[in-house]
Order: sequence, then C-alpha cells, then structure tokens
Amino acid sequence: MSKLCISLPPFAPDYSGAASALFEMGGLVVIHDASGCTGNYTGFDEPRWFGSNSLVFCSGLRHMDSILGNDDKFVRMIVEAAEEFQPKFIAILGSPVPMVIGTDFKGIAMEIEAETGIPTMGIATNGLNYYGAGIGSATIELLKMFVKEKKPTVSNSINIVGMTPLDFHVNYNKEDFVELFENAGISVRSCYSMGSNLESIQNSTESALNVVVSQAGIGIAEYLKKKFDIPYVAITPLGDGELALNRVKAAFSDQENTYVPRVENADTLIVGEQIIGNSLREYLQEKCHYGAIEVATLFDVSEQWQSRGDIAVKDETHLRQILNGGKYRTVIGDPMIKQLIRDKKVNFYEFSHVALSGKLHWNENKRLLSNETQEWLEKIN
Amino acid sequence: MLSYFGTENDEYLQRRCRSLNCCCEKFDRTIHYVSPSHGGWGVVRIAALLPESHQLFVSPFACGRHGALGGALNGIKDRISYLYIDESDIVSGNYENLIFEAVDELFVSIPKKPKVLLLFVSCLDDLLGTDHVSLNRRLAEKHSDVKFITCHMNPIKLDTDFPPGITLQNNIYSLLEKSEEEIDTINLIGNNVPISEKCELFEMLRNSNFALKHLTDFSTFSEFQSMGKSKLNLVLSPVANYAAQTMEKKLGIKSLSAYCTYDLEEIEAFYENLSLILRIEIKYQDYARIAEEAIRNARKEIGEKPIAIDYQAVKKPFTLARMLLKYGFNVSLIMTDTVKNLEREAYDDIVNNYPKVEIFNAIHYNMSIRKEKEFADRYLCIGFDCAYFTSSRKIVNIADDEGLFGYYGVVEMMRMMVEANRSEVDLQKMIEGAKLII
Repeated sequence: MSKLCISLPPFAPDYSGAASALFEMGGLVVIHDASGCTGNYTGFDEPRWFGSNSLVFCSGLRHMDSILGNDDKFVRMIVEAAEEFQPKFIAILGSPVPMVIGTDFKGIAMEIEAETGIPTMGIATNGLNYYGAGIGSATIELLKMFVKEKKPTVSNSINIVGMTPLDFHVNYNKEDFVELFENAGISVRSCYSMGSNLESIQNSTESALNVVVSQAGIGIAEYLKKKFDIPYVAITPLGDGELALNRVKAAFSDQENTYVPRVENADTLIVGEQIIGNSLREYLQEKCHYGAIEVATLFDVSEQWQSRGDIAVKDETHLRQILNGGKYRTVIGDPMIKQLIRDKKVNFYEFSHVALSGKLHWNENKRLLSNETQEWLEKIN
Repeated sequence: MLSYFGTENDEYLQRRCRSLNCCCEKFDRTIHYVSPSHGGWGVVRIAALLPESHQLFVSPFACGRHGALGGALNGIKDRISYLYIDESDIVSGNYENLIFEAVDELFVSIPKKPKVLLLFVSCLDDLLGTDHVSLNRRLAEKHSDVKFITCHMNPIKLDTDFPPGITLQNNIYSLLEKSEEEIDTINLIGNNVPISEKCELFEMLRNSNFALKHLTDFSTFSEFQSMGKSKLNLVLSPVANYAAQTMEKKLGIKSLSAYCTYDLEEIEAFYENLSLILRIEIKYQDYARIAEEAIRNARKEIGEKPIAIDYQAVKKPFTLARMLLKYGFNVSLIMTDTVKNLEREAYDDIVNNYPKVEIFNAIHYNMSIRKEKEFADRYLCIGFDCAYFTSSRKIVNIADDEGLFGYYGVVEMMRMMVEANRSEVDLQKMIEGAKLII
C-alpha cells in the first residue's frame, strides 16, 4: 500500500510475517527495532502471543546506536540471551531504521553464529513489504538452513503451505484442514507456519504435493518445487471441503484440474487475500451457482493466480474508486472495508482478515470448514 | 515507557543490586521482552486529547499499524490518517513534497477541516534531517486556518532527554497562546485520564475560589486556549515537566510537581507547597486521617498476602511499595524497566531495608518464561504486567495511576486492593479491556 491512507489501518508488515512463520520453530527471534515494530507484531499481529513462551524479542535499537552503527552491542545482547536459551536457531529481522542505515544482517548473523555455534539467519525485512513476503523469506531461510535433501516421497501425502495465523487466525482452521485431508486418506506431513516444528518441516520433503492455502505460501511452494520437485496446487478448503479435496486428488492422478472463473460483467467483488479470495469465488460459483465475481487483492499478488478482471489494489484511494465506481452491488471483505463504500445499498458481507484488522476482528474470523460458513456462503447474493 | 537514565544509571543499578545480591544484571541492557500486558495510551491516543486536531503520520506503512489499530480500538481512528513513504521517497527526497499533496487531499476528504494538524514522523525521520520548521511554515502559508506542528513517534529516542512522551506533551501545550488575562484556574497537565472529582483537591481549591482545568475538559481548540490563562500548572507526570518549563517561559505560568503518590508524607508536603504558592489555607488533616485509616483497614483485611506491583500500574512503584511495607503489607515483588531519578530514595530504602523484596526488570528476556506453576495465584497484583508474569487472578485493575490523586487516591487504591483480594478476574479480558497501545 502506498501514499495517503485515511480510513484503513496499515496492513501487517513483513517482519510480522517473518516472526509469525518462525514462531513455533524453537528459535530465538529478534526484531531489530526501537519497540513499535515488535509491538505491531506482539500486540496486533500474533494471536498466539498471550500465554506463549516463544522467544520473540525486540533489540531496543536506540538513536546513538543507529548513528554509530553500534552492531557489537546488538550482537552481544543476542549472544547473551542465546547462551541462556540455547535455541535451535537464531533469526534477526530488520525494520525501517536498519534499512536506512544499511545494517548488514547477513554479516551480523555470521558473527552471532561464529560466537554461539547456533545456526543464525539474518533477514532484511524493512516494514515496506507485506506480511506474506516476510513469511516466505523466513520460511525459505529456514528450509535452506535445515532441509538439505529430499526424503523418499510418500504417496498420497501433502504439506499444507501458507497456513498462517495472519490469514486464518487460530480458531481451529488448521485442525479442520488437517482433518479434512486425513479423513480422506491423505497424509498431512507438515503444516507450514502453524502447527509445525522443525522436525515436521524436515519431513515435509516426503510429501507428494503441496497445498497452498494462502498467497504467503506461494513463494515457499515455488522454492520446494524448484529445489525438491514437489508440485503444488493453490486452494483454500471451504464449506464442505469438497473442492479442495477434488483438486488434491486430481493432482495426485496428474489430471488437469484448474478452475477458470466466471468474471464477465461481474457485479460482485471479493476484497482481501488472493488465494482465499479465489477459493471463495470458486466455491460460490461451483457450489452455490453464483454468477461472475472479481477478486481485488489488498496484499501481495501472484500473477499466475490472477484471473482476467482481477485487481491488485494499489492504495486506499484506488480501493475507494473501485468500490464506489458503481460496478459492484455485492462486496465481501474485512469489516473495516465497509466504511469505504458510499452507496448504502451495496450488500456487504463481512469476512475478517487478521493482516488487515488484527485483533479488532480476529475473534470473528470464520471457521472455514463448518456448517456455519457453508450457510453463510449460501446466503451471499 | 520512559527511561530517565542512560549508561550511568545502568552502572548505578548494577552497583546497588550487586551489593545486595538481587537480580543485578537484569537492569543491564538486554534484548527486550514485550509481554502481552505491555502498553499504554501510545502517542495517538494522547494526541487525540487535543480538541479539533487531526493526526497525519508520515512514515513507512508498518510504523503506523499499532497506532491505527489501537486508535480504532479506542474510537479515535477517524482522527488519524497516514501518508506512507517508501524507499524511493526517502532516497529521492520527494518525501516533503508528498506531504503538501497529501495534506490538500486529506483536508478535502475528511468531514471537517481540523484546527490543528499534528504531523507525526517516526524513528526514520531522526536519521533524515527533515526541515520541519520550513515545512510547517509553507503548509501554514497555504492553509492559514490550520496550525501545523511536527510530532515524533520515535521510540528510538527513549534513552534521550526528549523521548516521544515528553516532546508530545510539549507540542500540545506549545499551542497555547499568551494571554494578558490571568484567571483563577489551575491546570492539571501530564495525566491522560482526569483526576476523579471525588478527589479532595477539587473541594479544597473550590473553597478558595480556584477551579481546575484539564485537557479533556474542552471540546474546541478555542476553549482549550483558556489553559493559557491559568495561574499555575500542577505537573502530574514527569513527562510534562518540559512542557511546564516551556509554558513558564512562554506564558509565565508557574508550575508545581504533583506526581501521583500514595505516600502520606509526600501528599502532605504537596498540599503544604500548594498552600504556600497559592497563599491559601489548605486543611488536609481530616483527609489524611481517613487515608491512614483506609491503609490500616486494608492491611488488616489483606494480611500477609504477598503483593506484586508493576511500573505500568503506577508511576512510582517503589514509593507505593515503601509505603505499603511501612504499614506492614507483605510487598514481595516489584516489576519495572528502570528506576527513575525521582524514585531513587524509595528504591534505596527498599533495597537496604527490605532485602526480601524481589525486583525484576519487566522487559528482560527471562521474563518471557512465565512462572505459572511457581507463582500461580500467590500474589495480589497491582497492575496487569505483574499479574501476567505471575499468572495471578487477584488483580488491581489500574494503569498509570489513572484517575487517582492525593488522599482520595490512597483510599481508592486501598479499596481496589481489598476488592481485588476478595475476587478473581480473567486477566486476558482485563488486558483486552485496557485497549493498550505500544
């Protein structure tokens, strides 16, 4: 998002995504910032923070340290904590100030690793990119660090990739997705970004297929495809889960199963995350006999998953123009989007998203594989 | 939270603590733990107290997320907007020109043009050398009906003499114009939540024909200007000291420190000082007796229950602890991120005379490991930061001494302690209810 933003909050940034992706991995994560950036993550972007013992910290960057390039102090503080916790790895994440002063995260990581003997990664997140970029870069760094070789493929097995609390909250969606596939005889080896540990990530190369459930997982799936030759499909399980199961089964049997949505003369718009938006559209059209729908993506966009007419939203002004151009009579999106729509006759259906409204609405996040969501989808008109 | 000490302080604390074998190293600089109970009003909520103002944050988008969502939680988001800058804006220097365009667009987009536009910049700006004086002058030339003032949300300067909490107070009160007229009013500055009118201070001053004014009393910017005509500033928090000094120079308003305390001697000294400055008689003795009785009754009821106090609950945790210890309460744990200059004496007293009191650095990395089994329900907690760490359900729901002052504050604190000791609460709901912003 760029430039003037009057009503919407800034979206979850890359360092929140990176910290979120590493949250359950047993590492020591340090965001190199003064306090506000870490506060974004712990206060508004991490639903698992309350009651957690995860090792995510703030470096407490100060003015003179940034002017003088006092990286030694940063290194000393991390080494001290690492010696006490003995984490499986250390990750240091960037924020806007380190970007401006040109902090050498890779170099600092090498220094810490040399001192502690603990694998250390430096990720130059900078608060100028969205959470998905952070999830992707942190996960790929983790894979580079701990997953060197492909294990023999287990048939009928998958990884769920992009299962992030910033997209799905922590309200049983992860458990439901795993259960959907396991009940259909498909083994879930790993669930990236939530419900995993280092061991399951290491075992994830056994999988025959990656199921990408949010855009944050696309980069990870592309890496796994290139490095370990694991193909992927991109679909979020919804309602009764049938469409997602069919997509996975078709991929196992090498059948063509890509969905071409109806977008001609669309008067319905889904605003939000790309893969979830695409999946909502597919479900509405395939299971609810809905007409043409367009998807407007607020966060990062993977071009190969865009359909004709789909929109990559540039900023709030752009979104206002889209919503108020008179084209759409139905809009599905986070509750905070509603305030941008001037025409009160537009049907608005709330579908909250953590990376937009954070803790404001995360308790309203839908349990996607449920009768309740199925009924909600059927009522959309 | 503000740090009043630099390296010298760290050395001082280490020396003090080492000699007494109490968690010495914990006040040294470490990576910080940010607990789910950490936070307060944040700059957005404090700035929103200024009537008829709008906030425009000029920063990378990420810097604004906690303020925007915190603002939405607190019902003030409609007074906060953002101009996101990216790497190319920073490098090209286009940043300042963008502000002109954005201000024009903002003013036609929001329902009412503000009287004051608070241009907030983040940590990044401290490294860029933006000429804010020139920028604001040019903006004022274009929009003569609006006052423009640069504010800083720059925690990167927390260890300096001018952290964001202090500069923001100064920015707000620097908008007051000098007036030849002086009226018999007294300003309360530095506290976000007004003192309860049940406090004896209101009645005492009313008896001498003085009225109290607070930023929250005004719904318009012109009404707010009446604070510039007051006779005296009562400075309720150290964060407003600098603003008070500026007001004395610019407006000729004298000030008196009036930090919230629960120490009866300190309250008495404050009323004696106030009496001298205003040249009025203040009869506080009856209130003092009531407060002391409340302390003794609370002690009787609470008995030997261990008490924990944290730095987010009260501005002077060591002073509160010392008072409670003197009256026989079993204060066992104090959590803070620093020892302020104004608390050195109380801190020394506790370290020297009450060696069993544990002192934890609330932001030390070790605090991420909660002592759920070890501490569960052991403590009566004053503040939710210590309640979170100790997994307590007996909690005094107080942040930053809100609403409390004088003998009334003591009585109210005792009432809340007794009530908290009798009941159990859901800490997570309590924290959610506090709508904290970092």
